Amino acid sequence: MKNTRILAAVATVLASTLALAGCSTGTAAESRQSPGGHTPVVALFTASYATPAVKLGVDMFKSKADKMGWTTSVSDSANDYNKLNAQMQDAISRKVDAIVMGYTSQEKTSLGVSAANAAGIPVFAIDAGVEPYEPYALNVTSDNSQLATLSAQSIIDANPKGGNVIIIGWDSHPGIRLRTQVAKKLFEDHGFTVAVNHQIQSPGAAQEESMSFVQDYLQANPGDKAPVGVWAGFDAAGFGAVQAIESAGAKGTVVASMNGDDFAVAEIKKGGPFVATVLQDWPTIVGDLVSGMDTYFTKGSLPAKNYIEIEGTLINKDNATKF
Amino acid sequence: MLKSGGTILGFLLLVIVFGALRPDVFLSFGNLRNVLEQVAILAIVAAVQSVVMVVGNFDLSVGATASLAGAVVAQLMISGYGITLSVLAALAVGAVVGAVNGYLTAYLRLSAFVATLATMTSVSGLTFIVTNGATLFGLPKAFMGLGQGRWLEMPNPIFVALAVSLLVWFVLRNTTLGRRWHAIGGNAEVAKLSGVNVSLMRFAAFVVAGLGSALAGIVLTSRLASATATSGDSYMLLAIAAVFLGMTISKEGQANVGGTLIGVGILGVLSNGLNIVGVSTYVQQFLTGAIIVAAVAFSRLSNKGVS
Repeated sequence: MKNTRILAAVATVLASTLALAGCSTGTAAESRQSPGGHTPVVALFTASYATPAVKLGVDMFKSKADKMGWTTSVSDSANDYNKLNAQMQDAISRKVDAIVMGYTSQEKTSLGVSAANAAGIPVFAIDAGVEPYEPYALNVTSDNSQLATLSAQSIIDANPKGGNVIIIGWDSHPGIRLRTQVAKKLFEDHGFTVAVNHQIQSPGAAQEESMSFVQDYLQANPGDKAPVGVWAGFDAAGFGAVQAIESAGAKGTVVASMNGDDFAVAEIKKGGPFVATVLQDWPTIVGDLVSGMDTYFTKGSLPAKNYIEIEGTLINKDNATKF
Repeated sequence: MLKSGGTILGFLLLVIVFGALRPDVFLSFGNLRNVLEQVAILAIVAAVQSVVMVVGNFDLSVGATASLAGAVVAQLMISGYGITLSVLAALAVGAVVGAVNGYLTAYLRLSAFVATLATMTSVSGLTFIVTNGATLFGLPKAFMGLGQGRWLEMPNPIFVALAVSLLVWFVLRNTTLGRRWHAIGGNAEVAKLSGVNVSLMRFAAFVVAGLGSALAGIVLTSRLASATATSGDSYMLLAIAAVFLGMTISKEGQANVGGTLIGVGILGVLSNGLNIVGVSTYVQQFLTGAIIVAAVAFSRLSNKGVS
């Protein structure tokens, strides 16, 4: 028992030391000063840092903010919007100079955003809404309609005679919900039948969930009844569909999605069922946001336009090798 | 029969209903193979979760451990290490997580809920560190055989699940270790007075859970040809649900591998059948929860009625 107590004490000391070491590393990284001597303090909030595209954009922002000399903190609430709003309240109490919403849903953050507005703290946003939103100082986002149009059109082009298509979406995400609506309309306008609109339950396990669903669907609809295309609202879901199609040996079913993730581009290069993804232009999105924030910090003026959409780039077999 | 067989009847009822709704599809060999393939990884996690639940605890970190092991095996192979070494390292990581859980629970006497909840959180963080939040892909083709290959026209994960389940069943039923685990689950104090090293046995049960979860994570990574920081997380609740469903089959209400596999089968058939019939995801989620509650409540009421 004595040994156990000693071990527990040692473990506690080690854990505390590690935690303190982590804190001190953070402080060292945040101690840079901007050329003007004033260090703007920025708090970024996201609810889905586990998603590859979100992590990419958030990390890109953090990197650019560090280069600008800003003191930046990143908080992830893991899809807990109550926690996210509380974290925002904390940042407002700390009197940060600006808040950045990373890929959040504006409907679920109104409490924190309103409080920031009331405290005179501007709220900037990366891909956090699909329409202009007054409380934001600036939201730079992907042009979700364009992303959906390009990817859905790839399936349409591959199937001039039309046919059935499957949609795999995730309506909880406003951007993906809009993409799904746009793709569905485009398919129907071109005479395609949307056989099923499957909603992902757990985005963290989207690839496996999508694979199982498409596997079941192909089992129930083999041969001529198989869909001519699977359109997925994001690449992980598209990748799962590709694996199900290859496993079932279904010929003539193509897949298109969007994000431009590395694994999707690699699949397109192979020349299999994955025919297209659309690369979201994160460097431009994040760059425009940082530029807007810099203007605010240096000149005190907010952007005249508070909503900017940035187009994506279609990646298919013709240009995949360039990415 | 009604007392201990309500869940089995429920399982058969599901098969009959889906078979009647889509007889051409649901009962086909190809579809049954799909169902087995889709539940294979859950079966591995649920089988080792059964061991922990036999000793009267449960492990909330099994899903996170599967994610971590999957990430470790993928990251090592991408870094140029051989398949065998990478797989062994990932298994070792799982065993270490299990050992930490076992130590906290058996020797430091923390409640399994608190200990494994804390481990789950830390392990999830470690997985993000290992993957750097990205999707790891580009794994060696030879490694894909484990999750995507077939033997006798059946996907390999099914054989892995079968082997793990048989092993756990054999150990629980036919070995001294298994009998000691059962004794601890029945009454830890009496087991201790009978000379059983309760702490060591409990510790071993958690190590088995960690090891099995790591194996599941490795198979999952091979099946998906990729690894993310959260790919195995959803298995934790499903595995516990499967074991609870299985416990309704035992007259004593104890965790048992046979029952757990029936539980896994119910979850798998439900998901597959509802997909084939074309029921929406949201309704599927509701029905899955409702059926778990119904099965467990029915069993409890039956037991009350008998006693």
